[in-house]
Amino acid sequence: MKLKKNLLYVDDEQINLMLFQQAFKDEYDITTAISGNEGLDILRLHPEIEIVISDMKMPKMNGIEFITLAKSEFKVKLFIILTGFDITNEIETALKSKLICEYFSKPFKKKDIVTAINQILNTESF
Amino acid sequence: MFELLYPSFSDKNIQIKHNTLISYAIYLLIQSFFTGYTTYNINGSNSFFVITLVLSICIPLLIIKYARKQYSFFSNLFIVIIWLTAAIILLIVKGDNSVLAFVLADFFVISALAALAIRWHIGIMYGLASIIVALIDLIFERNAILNFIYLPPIPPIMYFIGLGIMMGTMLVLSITYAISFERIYSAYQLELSSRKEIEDLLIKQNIELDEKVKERTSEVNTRRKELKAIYEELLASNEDLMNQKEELKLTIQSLQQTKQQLVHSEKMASLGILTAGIAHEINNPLNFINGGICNIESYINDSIPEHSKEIFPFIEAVNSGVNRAVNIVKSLNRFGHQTESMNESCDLHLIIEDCLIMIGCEIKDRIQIQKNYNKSPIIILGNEGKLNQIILNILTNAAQAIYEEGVIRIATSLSNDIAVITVNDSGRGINEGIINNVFDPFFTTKETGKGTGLGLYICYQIIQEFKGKIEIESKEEKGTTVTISLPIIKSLI
Repeated sequence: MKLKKNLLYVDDEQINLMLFQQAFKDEYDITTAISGNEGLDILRLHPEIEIVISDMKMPKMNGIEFITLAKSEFKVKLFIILTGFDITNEIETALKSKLICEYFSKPFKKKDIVTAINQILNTESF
Repeated sequence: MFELLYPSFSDKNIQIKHNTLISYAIYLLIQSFFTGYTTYNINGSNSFFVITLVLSICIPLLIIKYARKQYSFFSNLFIVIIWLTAAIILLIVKGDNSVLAFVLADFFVISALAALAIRWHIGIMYGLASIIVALIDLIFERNAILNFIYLPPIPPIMYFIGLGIMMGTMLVLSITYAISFERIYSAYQLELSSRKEIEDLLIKQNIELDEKVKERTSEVNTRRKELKAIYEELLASNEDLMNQKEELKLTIQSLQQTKQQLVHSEKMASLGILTAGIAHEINNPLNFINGGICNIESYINDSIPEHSKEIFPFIEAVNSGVNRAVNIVKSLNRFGHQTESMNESCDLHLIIEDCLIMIGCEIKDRIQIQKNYNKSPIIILGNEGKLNQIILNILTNAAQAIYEEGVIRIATSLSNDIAVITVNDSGRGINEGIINNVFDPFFTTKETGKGTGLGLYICYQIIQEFKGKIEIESKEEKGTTVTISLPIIKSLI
C-alpha cells in the first residue's frame, strides 16, 4: 500500500474544510486550518506536511500572504491556491514567481487536483 | 364819372396805348375846329352847330367804346352807317353839298387817325367810306373838296366860343384819360411787380425746396448707408452666432458622447466589481454542493452500491446544475474582467460561448443557434472584456431582431492572421435608408428605454482599437449579416 502524503488545507469556511477532508481522505493524510496563522502553527508542528492548499480570500491574512510567509519558513513544500475567484493578477504573479505551483477554482473537481498534484510531484524533486 | 364815360378803362384787362390817347386828342382838336368853322360857314345856325358838336364828341367816344371790343368789323360798320345816315339827313334837310364836304373831310381825318392809332383795316374802311361820299359829291356836280379848301374869311365870335368849349372839353377828357391811364398803369405796374415778387418768392421757395430735398435725400442716403452697415454687421454677427451655435451643438454632442461613454465604462466597471463579488460568493456555496454531492456519491459507492443505480440520476442532476452555475459565474467573471490591457490572449470560441450563455434567456427555446467554428481555437491578442462586449452586442442584436422563432448562424474562420466572425440572423433586417446610421451614437430603432443606441457605436470604437473592420449587410424581413474581421497578431493552437 502506497504511503499517503501529508496535506494541509486552509480555508475560513468550516464546511469547506469538512468537505475537503472527506473528499480526499483516501488520497491524503489531511490536516485542516481555519486561518493562515493556524496553518503556520500546524506547519511548524508537522514538518512532514508536503502539500499545502489554501483558500484565497480569508480574513486577516489571505492565501497568497499566508503562502508567502510559509514559503519563507519552509522551502521544500508544494503550495496550491484554491479560489472562489477566477484568476487574478495576484495569483498570476504568484504563479509566475513560482510561489505557487498551481491554482484551482471552486467548485473544484477532485480528479483535477489529484492529477495535478501527482504530475507536479513526479516532475519536480522535493 | 370817368368810369361812366369810359367804362373800358376800369377794366384791368385792356391795355391803352399812348399813341391812342395822343391821336384821340389830336382828333378832338381838329374836329372841334372844323365843326365850329364849317357849321358857321354853312348856315350860321347854332342849333346845327350843337348837333354836329354832340355828334363829334359822341361818335369818337362810341368808336373808342366799341373799338375796345376787339375792333370788330361790325361795330365799325355800325359807326360808318351812323355817319352816312347823319350826312344824308343833313343833305336832305339842308339840300346843301357843303354838309357832305364836311362829312367827307371828317372821314378823311378819322380814317387817317384810326389807321395811325387803332387798326389799319379800320382806316381802310373809313377811307372807302370817304371815297363813296366823294363820288356822291361828284354825281351832284359839286366839288366838295375844293369847297372845303376855300375857307370863308374871318370867323364870327360863335366860332371861337365853340372852339373854346371844344378845347375845354378836350382838356378835361385828356386829364381824365391821363388819370385813368396812370391808375391803370400803376395798377398794372403793381401787378407786374407783385407778380415778379411772387415769382421771385416762388423761385426762392423752389430753390429752398430743392435744397431741402437735397438735404433730406442726402440724410436719407446717409441713414440708408448706416442701416446697411448695421444690417451687414447684424448679418455677420448672426453668422458668428450660427457658427457658435454649430460649435456648441458639436461640443454638446461630443460631451454627450463622452458622458455616455463614461457612464458606460463606469457601468462596466461597476458590473465587473459586482460580478467578481457575486462569483466568489456563489462559488463557495457551489463548492459546498459540489463537495457534498461528491462525498455522497463516494459514500453510496462504498456503503450502499446496490442503491447507486437509483440515486445516480439525481446525483447527475445536481452535478449538471452545479456545472451550469459554474459556467455562468465564469462568464460573468470574464465579462466583468475589465482592464485596459490589449495584451490578453482571448479565446474567441470561449468568448462566443460565454456570450451565448449570457443571452441564454433571450434565445431560449425560440432561437436555434447554428455554430460553424474554425477547427482550431482562435486566440486574439487584445482585451478580453472588450471582445466580449463586441460579441455580446452583436449576438444580442441578432436575438432581438428575431420576433418569434428563428436561426442565428455563427461562423468563425481564420486566414492570413485575420479572424473573421460572421453572425447571421433570420430576423426583421434593417431598412436600407437607415443602414448607414447604425454606427451613429444614440441611433436606435428600439423603443425608448429599451436601447441606448450605443451598442454598435461602442462595437465600432472597440473594433477600431483592435484595428479590425465591421460590415453589416441586411435585407428587410430577410435578416442581417454582421461580419467582423480582427487581426489576431498570433494564433496559439
